[in-house]
Amino acid sequence: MSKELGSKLANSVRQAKAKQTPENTLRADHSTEQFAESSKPKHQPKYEQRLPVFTSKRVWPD
Amino acid sequence: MLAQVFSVANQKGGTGKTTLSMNLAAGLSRRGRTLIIDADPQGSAGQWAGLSSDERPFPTSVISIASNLAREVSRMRQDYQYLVIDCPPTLETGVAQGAMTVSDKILIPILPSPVDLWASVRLANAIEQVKMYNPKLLPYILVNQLEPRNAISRGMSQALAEFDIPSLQSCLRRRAVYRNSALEGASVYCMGKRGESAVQEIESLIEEILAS
Repeated sequence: MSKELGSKLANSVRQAKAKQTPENTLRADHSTEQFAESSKPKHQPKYEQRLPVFTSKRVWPD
Repeated sequence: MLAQVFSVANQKGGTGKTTLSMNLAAGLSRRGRTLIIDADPQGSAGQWAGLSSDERPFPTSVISIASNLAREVSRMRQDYQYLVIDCPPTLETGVAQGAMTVSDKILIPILPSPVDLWASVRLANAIEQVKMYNPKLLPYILVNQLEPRNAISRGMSQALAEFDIPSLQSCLRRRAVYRNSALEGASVYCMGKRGESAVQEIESLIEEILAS
């Protein structure tokens, strides 16, 4: 039973891999470039801009 | 000596990233000075540690970082033996990729479920991209919330073989003590007899990743 389910799971992973689009890959590449050490300051993640309270602050202990 | 940096990442939510980060850090703190970096804007790691009491403080500090993660991590590497980065559950902001570019090892917790497996395919691709910047990066899949009697749990090894990322021998079972420890702002190491089995799992995981 578990062997059969294992095969089904493995097949579904193969299908998910086959469905990966070039668009997804490009997006990941773009994000990586943004955060490589050599990135320029102009590349900031969007959520930082939306959440200015989330900063380099020690939260525990005070 | 510079700190070893571990990122705990998966772009899918609810896979146990924070629970793993906190307990991993608690175990590592028994071996050397450890810091948790909360890179998730939800701030769950900070919240967790904030629930600990003065009598029983969480064994490591937690800092929250969103900007200049690479620079901050490089700086902190001098002061700690281990850094654990709790990544956000998304690849869209690039923060998780940023954490991976400065990490030695990535732990990817995956639940024994088809949806989790499918979601992890995209993360595996992102890791390949990050390796262009950090070729020494070592990613590992960790099966989390395993239920040995469940057929899907037992079939996981076959499915995980489809990934180009190695799976750890160690796994974490589904245990209430992992959730309960969060409520007490503690790690499983502080949960007495209730936490014994979980501590063994975390210890086995740490031994495996430190040896790899």
